Amino acid sequence: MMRCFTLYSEGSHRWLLFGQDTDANEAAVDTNQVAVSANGSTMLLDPGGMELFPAAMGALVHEIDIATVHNLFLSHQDPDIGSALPLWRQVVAPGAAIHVPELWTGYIAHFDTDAVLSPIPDEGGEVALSNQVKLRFLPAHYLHSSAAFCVYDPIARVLFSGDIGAALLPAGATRDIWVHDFAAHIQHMAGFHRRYLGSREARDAWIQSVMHLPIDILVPQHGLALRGQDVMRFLDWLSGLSIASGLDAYRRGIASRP
Amino acid sequence: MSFNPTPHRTIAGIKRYQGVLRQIETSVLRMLPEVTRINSAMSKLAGLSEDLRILSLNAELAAGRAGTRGASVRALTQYTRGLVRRLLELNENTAGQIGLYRQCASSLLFLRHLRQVEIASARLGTALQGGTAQHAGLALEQARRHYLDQVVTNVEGLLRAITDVARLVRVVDDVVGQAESIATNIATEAVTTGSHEGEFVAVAETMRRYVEELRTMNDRSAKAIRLSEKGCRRMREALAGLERQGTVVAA
Ligand SMILES: [Fe+2]
Ligand SMILES: [Fe+2]
Repeated sequence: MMRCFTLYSEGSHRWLLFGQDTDANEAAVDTNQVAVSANGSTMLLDPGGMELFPAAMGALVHEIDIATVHNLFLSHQDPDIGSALPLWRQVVAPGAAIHVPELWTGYIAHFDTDAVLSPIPDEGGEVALSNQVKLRFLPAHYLHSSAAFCVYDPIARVLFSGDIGAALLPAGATRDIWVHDFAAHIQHMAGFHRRYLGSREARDAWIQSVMHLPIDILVPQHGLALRGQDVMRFLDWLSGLSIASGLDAYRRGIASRP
Repeated sequence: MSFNPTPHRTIAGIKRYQGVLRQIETSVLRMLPEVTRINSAMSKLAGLSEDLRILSLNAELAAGRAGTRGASVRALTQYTRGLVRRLLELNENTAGQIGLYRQCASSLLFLRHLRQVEIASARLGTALQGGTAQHAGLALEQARRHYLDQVVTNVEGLLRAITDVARLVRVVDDVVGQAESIATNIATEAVTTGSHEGEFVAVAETMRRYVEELRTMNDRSAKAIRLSEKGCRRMREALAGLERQGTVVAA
């Protein structure tokens, strides 16, 4: 059973997270599917992989009328982000916009050649769910994907950070969605960030770009959400982290053998 | 239109449906090696036809050199060339060989999607009430129809491709029979060509060898085609059964 967590709720304006599927196959990495609704319009953020579709749809429709899903967003091109795109497209509102990084349109088409994609330019963009609620696509390029976006909601002060902030937690355990002890949580994030994030320049630029935003909640595509002081703690931790650990392999790798 | 997940599609019904989908998927997977067999056998057709064409062309030239003594052989080799032309033309126009693989592969993809939709329907089950349930149920129902249509179209295409290849195999069979008797006739006529006898006996023998290779190729394909056709028809029946299930009712 996939669980649903409310991250933010103010009238019709809601941020819901669907994840921690207890029936999920452990072979596939656990993902968070996020839905943002306002005024009878919903955007699904990183709706997830093909294998997960039945569970995700089952969980979603308990909370959200599928006919209100007018927007889908794929933060980058990975299969855990959107390989279920053809299936989602069949069940959401007809003609729903599919926002994807412009760089990846031709690649995401490999999941679904019939999909009409709305490319997000490198600089980012904005989509209105209602007159008040407007979601901003913020660049997160090279973190880890060459073209990636986060989603920021200035009213809810929520940042969906995609793979940034991701944590790979031991499988099977049901838990709360919030980080309660940041120091203890680091062990679950460290390996992922060290190896998957490849560019220090991009990391620094991203931190610079989100530092000045009021963020109450940071929710990644894997693992747990951070709130309050933990958001700053995370940015601080990330800024000092040694990343691109895969570079070591060039030294240790087969190419360097005599 | 309205959707009522309970009376029209029970959980047991959906489970049965999933079972049938898995059977169909298994049938497609079983069919793939047969399709491979057909393709690899038929891929030799163009080469063998070309060999046969060159052989009869050379035999015709030799018959010309033999003058009046070679007249009857020449008539036979001309006839052979006509047969070969028919074979090559038909082979070129048989889209089926390429279609077979593509249709098999796409139906696997759509079956896979269909299965995910069905699992979602089962999860939805009877747990939901009210408007959102209606929308979700209707959306899944439409998705199911969409993918089922795609699978049906693919299986129909597969059957057409198989029928296409089967027709080619029948023509090859026909050509094989005729070419065989021509080879026998050339061997018989060779006796009357005096000093050219050895040359024409060799032509007859080579022709028999090619004919034998064609026959082997054809027999291999024919068996694989029979099995594929049977599998396809079974799938079509199973799909027709699925089409009758879980329909949306007009309110
Ligand atoms: Fe990723
Ligand atoms: Fe991811």
